[in-house]
Amino acid sequence: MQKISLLGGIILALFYNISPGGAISMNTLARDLSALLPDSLPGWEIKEEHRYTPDNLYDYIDGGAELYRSYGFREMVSLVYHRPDQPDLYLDIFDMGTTGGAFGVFTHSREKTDSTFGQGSQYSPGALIFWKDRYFISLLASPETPEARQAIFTLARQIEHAIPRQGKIPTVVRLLPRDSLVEESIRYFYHPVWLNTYFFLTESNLLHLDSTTQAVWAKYRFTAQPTYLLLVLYPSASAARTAEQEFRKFYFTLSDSRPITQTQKGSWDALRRCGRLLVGIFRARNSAAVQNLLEEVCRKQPSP
Amino acid sequence: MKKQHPRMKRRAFLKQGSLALGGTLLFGLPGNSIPTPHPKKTRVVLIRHPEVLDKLNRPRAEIVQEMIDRAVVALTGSTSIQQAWQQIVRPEDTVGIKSNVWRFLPTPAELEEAVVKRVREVGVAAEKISVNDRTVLRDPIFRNATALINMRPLRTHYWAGVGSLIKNYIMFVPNPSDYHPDTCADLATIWKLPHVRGRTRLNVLVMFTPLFHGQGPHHFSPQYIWPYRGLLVGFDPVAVDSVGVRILQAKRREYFGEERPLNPPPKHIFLADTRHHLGTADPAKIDLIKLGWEEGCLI
Repeated sequence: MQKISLLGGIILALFYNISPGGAISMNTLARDLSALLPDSLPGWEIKEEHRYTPDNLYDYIDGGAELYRSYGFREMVSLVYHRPDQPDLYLDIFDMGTTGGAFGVFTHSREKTDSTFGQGSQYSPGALIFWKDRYFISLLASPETPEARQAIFTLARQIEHAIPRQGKIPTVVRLLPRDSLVEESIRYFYHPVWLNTYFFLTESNLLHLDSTTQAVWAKYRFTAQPTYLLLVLYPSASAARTAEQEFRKFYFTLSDSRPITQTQKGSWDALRRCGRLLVGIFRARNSAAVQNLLEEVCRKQPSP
Repeated sequence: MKKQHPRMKRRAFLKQGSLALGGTLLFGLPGNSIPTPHPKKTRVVLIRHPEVLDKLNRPRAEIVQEMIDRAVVALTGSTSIQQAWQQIVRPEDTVGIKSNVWRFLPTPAELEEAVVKRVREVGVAAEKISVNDRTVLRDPIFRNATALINMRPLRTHYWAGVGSLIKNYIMFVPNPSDYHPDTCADLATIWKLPHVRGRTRLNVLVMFTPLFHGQGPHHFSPQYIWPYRGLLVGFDPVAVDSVGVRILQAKRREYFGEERPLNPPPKHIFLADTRHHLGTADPAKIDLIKLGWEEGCLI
C-alpha cells in the first residue's frame, strides 16, 4: 500500500474536513445530510428547512432533544412539506454519528418489528420512523390522508436509497439468544436514564453506564409473564467486575455470590459476569429458564 | 385581550357540582393572596363530558365552557359560576394565562376563550389579560401578573416522563435546558422563583385527548391519543399532575396489556412533593371529585 505522506495527509484532512482526532467536521456532516434529501416531491413544496446541532436541538424539540443527545446525536435537517388541503408533512433526518446511536434511538420507541424501510421501520397512521447506517429518519403528517401517506412512503424510499451503507448491529445486541425473544422489546442504550425502561431498577448509575458501554434490554416469553434480560458490555473485565459488585450489593440481598436468587414474590432474578459482559435476569417465572439463558449468553460472550 | 365578551347571564345553578362539595374548601381572598387549599386534603376535580369533542376530536366551545365552569364551582365550593370565578381572580388583578402551544396537542383555544370570558366577567380589564406560552418572559402582562392560570394538555414526554402542569412553567426561565438534568427532577424550583412564586390561582390539566405514548422526534403519533374527554382542575399542580399520571398509567396498562411504566418516570411530580414541598402527590391526601361522564374513567 502506498504510504500517505504527512503533507498528503494534511491535504486529505483539509479536503475531507477531518480533524486531528479523526472526527468528521460539521461542514462534512452538513454536506452528507444534504445528499440524503430528495430533489423534489411532486405536488408538494418545501415550506421550511432548518438544521440543528446538539447545541440548538432544544429549539426544535425541547426536552425531546435530550433523548437524541443521550444517543450521541450529531446533526439533523428538518423539512416541512406543504400541499394545499393536506396536513403539513414533517421530515426529520438525524445523523446520530454511529450505527449504535441510530439503532438505539429507533428501538427506544418502537412497538413492532417491520423491515419495510431501511434496517428497521415502524409505521402507524401518519407516522413513519426508520433507521439505516448512522441515520434515523422520521416522517409525520397528522391527521393522515391518502395523499400524505403516499408522500411519506415516497420520501422514505428515496432517502433509504440515498444512504449507501448498512450499519452493523451493536455487539451486545447480537449476543441476545433468539429463542422466545420478543424482537420488538429490544432496547439498546448506553445512557443510565434508560435503565428503568421496563420497570424501576435503580435511580443511581450503579452499573456505571456511559458512552464506553453497550447495554440492551429484551423480553423473553418463556411463560405468559415476560422474563427481562439485561446485558451490559464493558470495555474491560475489571470494569464489569466493579459494576457487578456494586449492583449486587445494592439490588440483591444475598450475602454470597450465587448467580440466581428467588424473590419474595416468587420470581427469579439473576446476576452473572462473563468476562466483560454483565448479565442480569429479572422477574423470571422459571429457574431452569434462567439457568439456560445465563449459560447461552455466556457461551456467546465476546472476546476480552 | 381584544375581544369583548357579553356580560355573563347567570347560568342555572349547577346542581351536581355544588351538591358534591359538601360545603368544604371555602376560602377568602384577602388582598392578592393565593387560595389556600384544605389543610388535610387537596381537592382535585375531574370532569368529563361525552359530547365535548366532535368526530374529528375538535372541542365544542359551549361544552368546554360548561365543563370548566362546573369544575371551578366544585373546586371552590361556590354556589354559582360567578361566585366561583370571583374566588379565582379579582377585578384588580393582572392575569397571565399560561397555555401550551405544542403543535400536535396545544391548549385548546376553546378553553382559553372560556377562561378569558370568565376572567373578564369578574371585572379584569381586557388589557390586563394575556394568553401566552413561549414568550411569557417578554410579555408585559406576565411580567406584571398578580395572578396566573396554568392550562395545558397532559402528554407523555421523552425526558420528563410527562408534560405536566409543573413542567408548563419551564418557559418562565430564560434557559429551559438548565432544568433538564436528572430527567427534569427539579422543575418545581421554577415555581419558587420571585416572578412566579405564589401567583398561581388555578391549574387546568386538559384531558380531552391525552397522549399516552410517543414515537419519533416529535414524540407524537395519532395512534397514541384517545378521547378521554376530561379536564382535571385544582389549586395544587402537584396533586392534579399526580392524578393525571395515574390515568395515563392506567391507559398504558389497558392499551399494552401489561405494566408499561412511564419512561423515564415522571419523578419531577413526586419530587415536587417530597423534595420541594410544592404540593402533594400522595393519592391518600387528594380528595378527587369526579363529575360527569363515568365510562372509561380509569381512576
